[in-house]
Amino acid sequence: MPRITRETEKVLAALFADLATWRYGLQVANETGLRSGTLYPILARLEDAGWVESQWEKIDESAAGRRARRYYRLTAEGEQVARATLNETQAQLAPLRLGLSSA
Amino acid sequence: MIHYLIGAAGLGLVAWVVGEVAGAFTRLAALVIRTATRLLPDAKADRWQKEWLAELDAVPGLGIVKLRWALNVTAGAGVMAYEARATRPKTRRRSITERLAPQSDELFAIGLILLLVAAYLAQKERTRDASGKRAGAVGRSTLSGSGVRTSRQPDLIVSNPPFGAAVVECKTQPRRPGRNP
Repeated sequence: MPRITRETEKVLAALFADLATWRYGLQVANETGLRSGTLYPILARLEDAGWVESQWEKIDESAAGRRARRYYRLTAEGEQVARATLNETQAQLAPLRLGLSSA
Repeated sequence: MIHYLIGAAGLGLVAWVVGEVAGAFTRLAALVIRTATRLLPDAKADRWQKEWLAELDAVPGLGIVKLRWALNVTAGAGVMAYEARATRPKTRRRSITERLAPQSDELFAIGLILLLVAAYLAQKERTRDASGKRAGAVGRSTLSGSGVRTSRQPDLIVSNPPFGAAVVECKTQPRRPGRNP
């Protein structure tokens, strides 16, 4: 089971934002603001843990004029983990928000 | 008029140089990615190489930006390679007998052949030794009896060759002047 760091949480949040959509690495990087050197090890870890699934884009590379990309999305298990993690983070941040709003 | 032409040619030249340099950076970035994937285990290297090369095309910006992205990927590949090594199940190192067990029949046959060759060579050497002594070098004598006596009693080397003949090797001392043989 991968350790859930802040960066991992960002990736989970990005993928959780729209569960039905497949995203390729660069899209996730743009959404999370993570560098490629940080993002891909996280994606690999999540995939090994079974929280993320991936598949190759089905295109005719010669017709499209580019290589096929690898797309990712959360699995059912990954969705549960992401939901739990994000709820936990929200709960931890709630007192801070309350403090800020009252001040 | 000529100034405009020179200016346009200059701009064209600069654009061409920039394009070439950007292309060179992009090619370099692809090379960096191919090198980075060598860090990964063989089972995963192909997949990540294809994925990163595909994403390299999608990275916006000039070649230098792509190169920076590829260098970042290299750092990530290093992390992934380290993690793959760390999580790989440790296999017990097999002992030499376990490794050789499947080839035991072949090894036995090879050992037997080597043994026969060694025995043959030893026998051949002994025969050659014996025949060389029998040929009679200076200071040797072959006797069928049980020893030899000389007036000076030189060192005697008696060997037992086959065929029942005793070979006696006499290492004679050099004569001293003024003494009878």
